[in-house]
Amino acid sequence: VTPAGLLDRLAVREVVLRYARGVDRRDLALVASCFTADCAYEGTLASGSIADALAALPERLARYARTMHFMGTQDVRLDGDRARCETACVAHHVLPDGGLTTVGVRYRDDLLRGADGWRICRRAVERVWSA
Amino acid sequence: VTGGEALAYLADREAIRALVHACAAAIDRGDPDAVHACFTSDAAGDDVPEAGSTMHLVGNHLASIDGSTAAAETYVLRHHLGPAGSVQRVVGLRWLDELVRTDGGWRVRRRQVIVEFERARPVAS
Repeated sequence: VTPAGLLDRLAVREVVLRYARGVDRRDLALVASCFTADCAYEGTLASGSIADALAALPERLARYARTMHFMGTQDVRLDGDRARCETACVAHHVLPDGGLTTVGVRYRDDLLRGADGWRICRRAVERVWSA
Repeated sequence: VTGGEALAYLADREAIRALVHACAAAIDRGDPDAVHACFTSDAAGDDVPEAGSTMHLVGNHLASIDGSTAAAETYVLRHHLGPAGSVQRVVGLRWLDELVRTDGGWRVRRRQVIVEFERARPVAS
């Protein structure tokens, strides 16, 4: 393990956490900055490209007064300028009437290191449980 | 970035992460001295609840360092415990910390607590 490798592992984990920050703060530019422009996306927002998912995000977020994407487990595998990161998340959705829904989500991300750092280039989102 | 610079940065990041976790653990232990040790002497620290009355589960943690100061955001699920191992309330909150590097290491100089949600969990009968 080299210092550069440790920086990479940290940077990869941070991309996914910045996604959560962007969504929870309704900072769509921050959300978009976590992905490559041609990122493939398969999940709860869209099936196809990240552009479709980002386009669907504002309407989805409008359903909730607030969200908190609480992330724990992050399993990172580095391979040069590529990485995989699997993240377990419990998403808390506060409804406009004050109610709360809780969803267990697994993000499977492939990341690429580019000129501007690590970005997600493929994402699969699995809704694992809800309560 | 040289290996030395990378290690210095990683050491700072780990120190900040460890400080936030130590603070959460000290709150749960009901150890006000240990909690206050996480803050600068002029910072208003958290009120420390009675030992054994909370469990703080720390999640998402992001920090950015700018010289001798830093900003960190940490997601926390604060479980308020009741009798017989029950959970009465779960509060989802964010700690927005301003930190400063002191002679004794990193300390929190200002903490903003933002409550995102609160869920009552009635005590099981």
